[in-house]
Formats: sequence, C-alpha cells, structure tokens
Amino acid sequence: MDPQVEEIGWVERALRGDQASYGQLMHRYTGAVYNLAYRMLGNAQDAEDATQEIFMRGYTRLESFDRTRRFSTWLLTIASNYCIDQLRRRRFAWLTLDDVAYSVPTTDAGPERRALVKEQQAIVQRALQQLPENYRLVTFLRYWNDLSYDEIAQVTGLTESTIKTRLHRARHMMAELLQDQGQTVWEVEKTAS
Amino acid sequence: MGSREDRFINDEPGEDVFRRMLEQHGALEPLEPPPDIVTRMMRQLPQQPPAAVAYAARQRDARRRLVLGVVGSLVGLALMLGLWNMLAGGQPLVAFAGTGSSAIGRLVLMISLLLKPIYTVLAARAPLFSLSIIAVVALGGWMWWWLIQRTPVMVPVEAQE
Repeated sequence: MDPQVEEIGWVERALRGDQASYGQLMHRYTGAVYNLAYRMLGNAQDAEDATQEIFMRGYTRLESFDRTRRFSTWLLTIASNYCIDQLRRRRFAWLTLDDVAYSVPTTDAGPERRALVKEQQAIVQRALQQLPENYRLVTFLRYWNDLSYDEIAQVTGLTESTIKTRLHRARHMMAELLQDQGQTVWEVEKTAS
Repeated sequence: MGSREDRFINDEPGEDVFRRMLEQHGALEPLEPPPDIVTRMMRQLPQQPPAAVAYAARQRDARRRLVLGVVGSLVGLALMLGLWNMLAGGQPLVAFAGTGSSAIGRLVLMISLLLKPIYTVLAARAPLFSLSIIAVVALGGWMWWWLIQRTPVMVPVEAQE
C-alpha cells in the first residue's frame, strides 16, 4: 500500500480516537523527529523530551493536518518550530556551555574504529551546533533528511532562494569550522573533482 | 584558497562535496532513539480523541487570556487613575468612584491604595522625569529582547574544550 494513503488512514482513525493508529505514525516517524531534535538541540536528553512533546502537539493538532500534504512534512514543521522555540528559550535561561553535551551513540564496529567514528561524528555535530539555528535547520533537513528545496520550503515557510542562500552559507561556515578543528575537508573535495 | 572555497560552496558540486564529507565523517548515520520511547509516548497520550483535546486546550487558553485580560485591564485602569491623580491635580479621580460604599467604589479605592506607594515614588521626582525614565527602561527592555531574539545561537569553540 502507498505509505501516504496508509498514513492518511491512520490519521483518520486517530481522529476518531484510535490511539493505536497514532502509535503507528509514532513508530514510523520517531526516528526522524528524534534525529532532527538531536541535531538541533545538541544532546540526547533534550532530543528525547522534544520528541515526546512534538508527538503530543501533533496529536492535539491532528485536526489541522491537511490531507493533501505529506504527514512527514507536517510533523517536521511542528518539530522545527518546537526546536527553534526551545533554542530561543535557552537564551533567556543564560545557557551555560556545560549544558551542550555531545553524546553520540556507539556503533557496532570494533573499539578503535568505533572511537574514530565517534570522534568524527562529534566533530561534525560540534560544527553543526555552532551554526545559527536557522542555518542548522535547513542543513539538517537537506542533508540528513534528504528533503528537496520545495519540501524544506513547506516545512520552514522560507522561499527557495532563501533556502539556497542559507545552505550555501551554512556549507561555507561548516567548512571553516571543520578546518579550524583540523579536519581535512579538502580531501573530500579532491575526491569529488 | 579562494578557488578551493568556491568549489566547496558552489551549489551543485558543493552539495555533493559537502554530502560526501558528511558521509566520510559518519555524520549522516541516523541516531537510534531510546527503544521504549514510543511505548512511553503512547502511555502519555490523552484518552480523548484529538478534537476533544484540542477543544479543551482552546478552552484553557481562552480562560487564561480572559484572566490576564481582566487583571491587565484592572492594572491599566489603576495606572491611569494614578497618573490622573498625579498629573492633573485637583480632585482625585478615585473620588468619582464614590466614598467606598459601593462595590465598585471599594474596588477602585483598594487598587488605588495598593498602588499608592508607586505613585508616591514617582511623584517624588518631576512627573516628566519619571515618565522619561519609564520610557527609557521600556525602550531598553525592548531593544534587549529584540537583539537577543535576532542573534543566532552560537557556541564559542573555546568554551566547548
């Protein structure tokens, strides 16, 4: 069955009070929402709390879901707004840098490889966290979620040209940040050319 | 260096290079959420259908707005009464609310008395000076909020090490 049709069926049933149907939607999108929250907020605990809150908001606002749109786009819009809102609140809480943890889960590789991968992931995550929040969001949606410009525009409400500009600047900033941390980003460039 | 940067940030080639760099760093690997998170979220879901939950939330918001509106209006009214008394001179406006024999008269009198210390402090200075200070504080607060709101969240590298 077409996943979109299947999801609309779940939405319809959830609207009638069938929690198990909303559970299906949660099963399908928990990973996407958690990853967005982790990349935006920078630590696992906040990402977990955010995931729970985002799905709760999704349930409360389910009536407003436009069946002609993709459910993922609608949910990621809620998630993006929530994360941006949380980042703004942090400013008022005078965030201490100790709060920004970079816990990257382990992989199944051997210990040395695992340590290396973990370190490299942490470097990228650190660079990503240093991007302004609006740049971070479009970068995540584009490269981690593989969304098209049009889909990013639907999620963020930005124009396509603004998205391209932000991505362009974000890549430039990431390149500088990674270079500052001694990463040989240019090797990648050479292999691409 | 310039050409390197240009190649890195050019749109289409830049996208590919950037994506490869992320792949090379293992950064695109999806993170696994906690295994029991869906179960926990299911437990937290309200028992009512979404429409009922949304209706209850709207009702709560409406009540909160009403309370805030009433309190805000009362404070605003009291401030206006106080400013009138302070700036216009002559008969205090609160006197028009009666002698305290009616309910509304007692309410106005009570609010006026509660806020009297503030007016006394303000009146100790010249009224125009006081108003200027209020305006400067309000403007400063607004600018602070505006600048904080617009400044991107950036974490200095050195602070992370």
